[in-house]
Amino acid sequence: MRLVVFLLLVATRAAFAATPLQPQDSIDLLKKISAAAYQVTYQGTFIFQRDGRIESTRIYHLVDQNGEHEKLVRLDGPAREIICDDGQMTFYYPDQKSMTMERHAVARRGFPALLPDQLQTLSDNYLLEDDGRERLAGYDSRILLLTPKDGFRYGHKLWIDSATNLLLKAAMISGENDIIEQFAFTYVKIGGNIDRNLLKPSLPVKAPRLQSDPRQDSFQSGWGVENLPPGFRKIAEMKRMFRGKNYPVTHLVYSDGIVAVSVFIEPLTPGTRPMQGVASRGAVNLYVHPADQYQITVVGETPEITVRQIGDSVVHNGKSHD
Amino acid sequence: MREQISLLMDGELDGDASAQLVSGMKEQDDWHLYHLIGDAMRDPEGFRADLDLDCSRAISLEPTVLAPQKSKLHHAKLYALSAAASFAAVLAVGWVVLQSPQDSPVPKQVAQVVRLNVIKSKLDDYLAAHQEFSPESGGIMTSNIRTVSDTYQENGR
Repeated sequence: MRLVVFLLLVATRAAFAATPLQPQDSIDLLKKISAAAYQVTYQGTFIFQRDGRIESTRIYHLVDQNGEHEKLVRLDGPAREIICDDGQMTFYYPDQKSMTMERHAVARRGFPALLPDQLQTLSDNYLLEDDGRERLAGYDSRILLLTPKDGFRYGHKLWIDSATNLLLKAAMISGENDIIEQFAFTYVKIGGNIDRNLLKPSLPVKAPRLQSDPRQDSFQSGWGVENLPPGFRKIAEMKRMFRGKNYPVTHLVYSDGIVAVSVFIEPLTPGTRPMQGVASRGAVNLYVHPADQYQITVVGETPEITVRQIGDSVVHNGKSHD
Repeated sequence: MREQISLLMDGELDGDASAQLVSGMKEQDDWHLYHLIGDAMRDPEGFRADLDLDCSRAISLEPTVLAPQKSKLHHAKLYALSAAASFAAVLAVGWVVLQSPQDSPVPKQVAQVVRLNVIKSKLDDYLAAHQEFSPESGGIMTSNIRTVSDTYQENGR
């Protein structure tokens, strides 16, 4: 009898435990999720939860021979829409005279191209597991679990539609099982056709453009990070203009294959008080501090320790500015 | 100075003394700090910012003041006075914002209010620039979710 109970316990445990995945299989799956996000036609309503609040948004996403057409409609708070046509974004915010943010093209990079040796680092830094199946918004989904092996990153749980690989739900997890940010479809219709009228703006006011966001890619600034947390590599470096600033800001981007951390470096403006401190919004942490003649700002979907370590070890041509 | 601030909050400081205290705070940058704290407290759901890491260190270095317990009645009265003073302060700030700068008797205060907003939207620009590279959760989904959400929060106050 005892043996039967023991065997039953073992069997139950096996049925509920997540199964480890081969790194290559996880990477293939991550790439499929990324591709599905811009190759699949769908429409639905999703909720986004962070910092103890939930917001709902309606989304229409149509893919045809001319590319992608997307409309996001806020359902809570002031009526607002974002229309995205083949990478060109337009904001319809009738409650605002001017836009606070302006982006011309959305970078549809999906997951950054992983270098061959990053295939290894992904499994060095995350435990990659298949966490079974679950029915979500009416669809059968498989669950991918990425558990960090150190304190420099958060965990991720992804619910993926079995048929199309469209992401149906995603949660970022801190510590044992503390959800810090998540999005989930409450209703979604995958495939089919979308009436083109639904993709047109329904709000009359188009927010005037404040300033374009010109930037110079592939630029060598001489800036770098001396003490990068394990697994992070530089994936981009550029000079960009911010509104209200008449000097370019150096922007470096680092990634561990799953999340990105941005480092902004700019000269301190004489006469203004340099900013120093940390801030957070959902899973995003920000660290800002002055170093010598420069203001360093670090932003990333990582714990605070990661943005601080990166921000504190910014160097110019190998020379520290602290 | 702290005693004076406390008196000001309780509405027990006269006009001249208040003006002197405020200009003293401005000289020591305390004015800016108090506004930042007030801004954060009025907007608990917005950007949680701790824009001075040295703040908690400074607090931990402060001597603990041991004072006799106040009587309950006195405490209640103080609380009521503080609440009235806070309400008056809110009204004053609202009034300053509504005035056009040239009509306002305290133009410096107007400049302060604007400066804090600039700091907030400054941080938003960095977030927006970063989100282009935010690759997790299938890239596009999350980056647009955050865009809609961020701009909403800014106006949600």
